[in-house]
Parts: sequence; structure tokens; C-alpha cells
Amino acid sequence: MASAESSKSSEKKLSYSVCTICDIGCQLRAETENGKLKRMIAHDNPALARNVCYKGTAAAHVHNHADRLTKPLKRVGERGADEWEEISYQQAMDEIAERLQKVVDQYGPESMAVSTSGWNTQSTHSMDRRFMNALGTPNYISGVSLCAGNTAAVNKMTYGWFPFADMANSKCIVLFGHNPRKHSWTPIFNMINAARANGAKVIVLDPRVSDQAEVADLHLSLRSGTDAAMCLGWLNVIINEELYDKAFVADYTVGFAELCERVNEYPLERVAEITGVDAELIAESARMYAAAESACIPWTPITDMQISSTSAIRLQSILRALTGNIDIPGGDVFGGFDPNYIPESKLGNHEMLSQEQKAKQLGSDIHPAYTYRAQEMLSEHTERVYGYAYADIVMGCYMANPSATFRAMATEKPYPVKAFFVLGNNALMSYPNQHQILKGMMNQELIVAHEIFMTPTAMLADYVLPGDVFSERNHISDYWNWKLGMTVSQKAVEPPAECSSTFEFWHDLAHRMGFGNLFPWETIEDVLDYRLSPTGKTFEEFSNENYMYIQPPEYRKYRKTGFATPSGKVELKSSVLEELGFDPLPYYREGPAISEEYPYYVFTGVREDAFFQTGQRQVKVLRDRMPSPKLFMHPVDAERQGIVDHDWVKLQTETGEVTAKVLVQASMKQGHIRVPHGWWYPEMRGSAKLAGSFISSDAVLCPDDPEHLDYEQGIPHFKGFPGRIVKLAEPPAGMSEQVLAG
Amino acid sequence: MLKFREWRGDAQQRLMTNIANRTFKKKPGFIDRLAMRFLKRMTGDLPHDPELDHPERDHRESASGQ
Repeated sequence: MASAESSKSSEKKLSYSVCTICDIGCQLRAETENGKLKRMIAHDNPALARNVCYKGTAAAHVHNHADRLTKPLKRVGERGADEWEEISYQQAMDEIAERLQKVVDQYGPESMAVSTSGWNTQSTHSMDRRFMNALGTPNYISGVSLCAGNTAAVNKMTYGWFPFADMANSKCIVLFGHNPRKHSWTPIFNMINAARANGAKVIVLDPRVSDQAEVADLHLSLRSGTDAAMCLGWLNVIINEELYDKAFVADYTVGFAELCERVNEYPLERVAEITGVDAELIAESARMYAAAESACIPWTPITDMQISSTSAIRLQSILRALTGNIDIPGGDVFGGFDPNYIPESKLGNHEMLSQEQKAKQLGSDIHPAYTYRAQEMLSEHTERVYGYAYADIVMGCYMANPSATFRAMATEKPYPVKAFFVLGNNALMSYPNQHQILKGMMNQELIVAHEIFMTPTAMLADYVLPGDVFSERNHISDYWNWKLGMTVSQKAVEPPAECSSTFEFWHDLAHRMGFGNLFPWETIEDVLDYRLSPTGKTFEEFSNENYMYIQPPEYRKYRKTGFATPSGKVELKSSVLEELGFDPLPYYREGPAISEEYPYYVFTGVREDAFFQTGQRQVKVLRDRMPSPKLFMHPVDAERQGIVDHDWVKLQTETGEVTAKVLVQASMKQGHIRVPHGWWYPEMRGSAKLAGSFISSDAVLCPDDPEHLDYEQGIPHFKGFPGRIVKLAEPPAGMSEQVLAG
Repeated sequence: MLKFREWRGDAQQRLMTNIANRTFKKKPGFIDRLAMRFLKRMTGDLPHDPELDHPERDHRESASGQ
């Protein structure tokens, strides 16, 4: 075994890792020396070697960082004062269990909410859900409610699974606002390049002339937040010009006639007016997509975050189906569960939570799409096709609604939420309406954070437990059931001091809460052995033989099994949405209008190369590459406002304001302002409230009251809400020299 | 019934997956090494990318106080 079991050895060692500096999971190699992680380098397999970015190669700077948490902390000052005493892990866990039990006894188990992200914590193995289901709380929220997880849940309503785009083999790739680059979404970037080299056309729909738009075959500069309208326009062309796969539609879909009626409500002139894109260009791009020998519409975080998100996601599914691009090489492929690896959906033990408790899941009454209420309507069909009743693809299919959860934390309505556990997730800045999140957190009786750095969220906790990182644990990644494949990540070094995994956290808490029998595994390796049991191999045996295994693909599986929907077919008209009382056909809904007072369309939630979400601002080698937050605006807009490059400004909305620098960019669409995601200032810890997390964070900008949310999912309209810009005479006080200069 | 074209496309993808799986082995046999040689020919050389380098500095250096 190539891993560094003997961490104190003086030899240099190389081991295989799955990087979780971001959520992509690239395969890299960890070089260790004297039991210390020295550096991360590209993989030695030529098929994987290009999948590396400068965040990944900075992992040693993250994992060995001086500011990393290594000891459990207990709050000693006021909540949020960032004053702590070090305590032992045992004491922390004992006290947490005791205080959680007190909250549960007083308010009921549903008063515990958990916010986490498997992307960050990797090795939870759904133990969080297992714990919650045993305790009796349905209130799990995650960043994937805004990014991929919600798409998975909505895709399931249409055809029972969340497909992964086979970009590398595709002849046409459609990117709705998605902008994979060399150092962000790197494997996706590489797959697109491979397809392009093989003659694929690329269509980009993005307000900006993004990196991908610059080299696209067609670029449609649509108004931000109008993806649903654009898809309806494409369908109008594809249906009325009879470019769809008639045999597939006849044999494998329901609701085509009703869909045609709906689509005819969106003639191209109307779509052109909504999106701001010329009707001829809309028609040309629709024809290019429909005529391709194979075509795919990869998942995009942009469509995830709009007021018509459910419809837009469904429309992308419908386009895939109507053009016959489902489950074919080069199309959108339905992986299904890997037969070699027991899925997290099973480990989560969702059957254990009673229907009475599931019905209390926050937000499920108004916005049920990704809650138990809607997703359990698919359970028997999921079991029929995929063998398991619960398919928690990318961990996004049985979640509470975050806005409803934070509202309950703040207002105690419809019932009190009094214990908040947050693991590998800077929750304060990761959901809309940061002010409400703060209010909710300040109203808690118990907050527990499990983190690798002291984040603004962790600063609000009662207990902070130091987390491990990917180089310090064994793991097998299965892409969260999104695509087939198992990749080994080897423990290269020991975690420092008292750092521990999220698996250990839930395991140890369950044993203290009296249901340890449901957590019979003592170590992560025990869990991995169990998950690998279908192969007849242990983790050690499997990882000694392979660093990766891909299940050979099988296409058009629906011909044998049907689709995992109530009708067994692709539901162009959704029976689930109809039963829940929503419009069963997709539609376009206009976002909040700009006005004289707020004349710009603002879009937020934008990821930057140097960082993953709110992370890594304290890592010098990354921060040096992006020292300060930058808004993008068009030269015409900048000139009208009297703004030049690097001016400091305030971007204001009806909900909040952020302070940032401006970059004037001709690639921006006029009338639009782009705001980067997740900015705070670790260097201001101790000198500014919660390390400056209310200065430049985009999470303060977007409203999340019910009328500003997507009806079915409760997703905020991050892509195109009204704002205005105010030039500042002076830079904001308290900023470091690097921020001012960079 | 699969059309010939469908069958060919599907088979090609399965073959490529099987070849890839052979290259993922830690103790490659003769056929696995052939698979790796084939893969290397397909992917070409990968020159070092200096953008991936970070200045060698003490990892314990913090961003605080910059």
C-alpha cells in the first residue's frame, strides 16, 4: 500500500488523494515527508493528470496552515464574541450530548437543525442523516439546496434520476451560464475541450462574454434569470419545426400534447422580448442543439438559483428527453447506484424517521420540491427501477428549506429550532438573508460547529470541534451517486492534535445519546469495508489493487426498466407537482423588476478561481491571487456612474449592501452587475464584527421572503435582482494593505 | 432491439471504460501496461504548468495581518 501508514517515517511517500479543496473531487497525489504533507501534485495516470488546479496544489498550505483549528473550543464570552477556552474532546462531546438532550426534551427532536456539506466533509457517509433520523429530526439543510442538490431532486420528478452529462463524447454541449475554466471546475473544462477537439459544438447562454462564451460556436447573451423563458423558446422551435425524437416521445413520455399547448404560449417574439436575445439566434441555437448527433445540457449552478428554477430545471430535462439525448453516449447519462458500493442513501436510514416527524420538515408545506413530502412520492418507483426506496443523489433530495429553517430559528415559528449543528459549512454566509441567519443563530440554546478554520459561523458557536482534512483520512468517493465510479483517497498523514472526522463526531454523539447500536462501525475503515461488501473486498484489499474503478456503462436502461416516475415514463407534465398543487407544466415567472431607484440587474453566488465558496481567504498563496472582492460592471454603466477600475463602491439592494472594488469589463452585459460569492476577511478577526463577514458578503443582498422565492423549491432569485451602485469617496476603514492594493 | 449504430457506440464506450480500468491498477500486469501505453498515446504529453506552482514558503505563514 502506497499510503503513509508510518507517518513518522523519514521517507518521502506518495499516496493517492481525492481533493476536497472544492467540490469537484479531482484525483491528485499527496507527497509526504517525515509524516508531514509536503505538497499536492497532479496524478500520474494520463487520463487524470490534467484534472488539477492551483487550489488543489495549494492543499498543503491549507492543511498545514497555522490558523487551523486543532483543539476543541468552548465559548466563554457572549455568543459571537470569539472568546474561547480549550477543552478536551471527551468533555466537549459529553457536554454537547447533555445540552442537546435538554433541548430535545424541552422542544422535541425537530428543534435540532443541521447544516452541512458533504462536499467539504467528504467522509460523513450520511452519518449525519442517520443520526438525525434516529433522533427524530427532519431539519437537514445544505448548500446543495442552491447548487446541484435541488437540481437532482427536480430532475427526479421528471424522469426519476439526475443524469450526468457525457461531455467528452458529445457532439453538442449547452452551457446555461456555466463557465468551467482551467482553475475552476477543471475536469468539466477538460471534458469540454476534449469534445471540442473532437468536433463538438458549444452553445453558451450567459449574460457575460464569459471564458466559455469567448470560444463558443454560439453565444446568447440573455438577461440574467431568464433561463426558463429561453428553454421554452427552444422547445417552441424544436416542437413546431418537428425536430424532436418522435419515437421517443411516443413511447416514453406523457403529457406531450399539454406541453405543446404551454410552449405555444411562448412564441419566439415573446421569448426574445423576455431574454433580450434576437429571435433568429434563439432559433438557430435550438436547431443546432436538436440536430446534433448527440447533445448534452450539463448541470449548471446558474439555473439552480432563479425564481423560475424548478421550471427551468424541468425544461432542461424535457429538452434532453424530447431530443432523444437521454442515457446515450454523448448525451445525459443515468448512472444509477453503483452495484459495488452501498450508497449513502441506504446508510442515511431514512426509513427510520416517522411520517409524523417527516411532515414537520421546515418549508415542506409551502416549498416541498426537495423535501421528504415531494421526494417520497417517488420512493416506490425509485425502488422499482434502482433497488432502493431513497435516492439521495448529491445529498440533495430530502432537505428542509434553508430560508424556512433560519426563519424558524429566529422566530420560533412554526415551532422553535433551538439547537443548530454546522459541519464543514460556513452557514452564516452560505444561504440568502444573512441578517436573518444571524438573528436565528443568536436565538439558539446550543450551536456546535465542526470546522478546520475559525469561520464567522463557528465564531457564533458554543462549541467548535476541529475537523480533519482529506489528506488525513481514508475514503472512497462515489461522486455522490451522480455518476458511476469509485476513487480511492488514502490517508497520507495523521490529523494534528485533536482533529477528527465528521464520521467520528456523529458516531461518538450517537453513543452518548443512547442509540450507539445504530452506529456499529468503530472507524471510517469499518464503514468503508461495509460499503465495499458487495465486492467481497475490504478497503485495504480494494485500495491495494486499484486507485479507481469505473462501472462499465449501460445505456438506454429505461427500455428495460421504465423511468422511476409514477407513470414509468418521462413526465413532461409532472404528476408529482400536480398532486402537490403546483402547475404541472413548466412556465416562466418574471423576477423582481428594476426601477429608477434600483436600475441594475445584480447576480450573485459567483465562484472565483482562487477560492471555494467562503473558504480559503486566510491561505496566503491563494489570497495573493485574489486579494479583494471585485464587482464587474460594463464600461457604459461605469462611465454613467463616474466609476473607474478599482474604485471602491457600495452595491445596495432593498435587503442589504456590500462594499467592494469595481472591475470595469467590456465582457459584462450592460445593465448587469456581477458580485462574487462568500467574501469575508480572516485578517480582521478581533477588529471587526465576525471577521468582517457583513462587509462584502453577497448573502446579505438577496431577499428570501416567500414571494421572492421559486414556488416549488423555495429557491431565491440570485440571478437578476434589482440593485444600485454608490461610489465611495474613501476606501472602507480597517482594510489591510493587501486588500487596498490588490 | 439495438440498432447497429447504437450497439457500436455503446460497445465503444464499454471498451474504453475497460481499458481505463486496466490503467487504474496499482500492480499492473502485461495487458494493463499495454492499456496504459495506449492511453498515453491518446492523451499525449502533459507539459508542466507553472500556474500550478506556489512560491515555496513556510506553510505556517498566515494571511493574518497582511
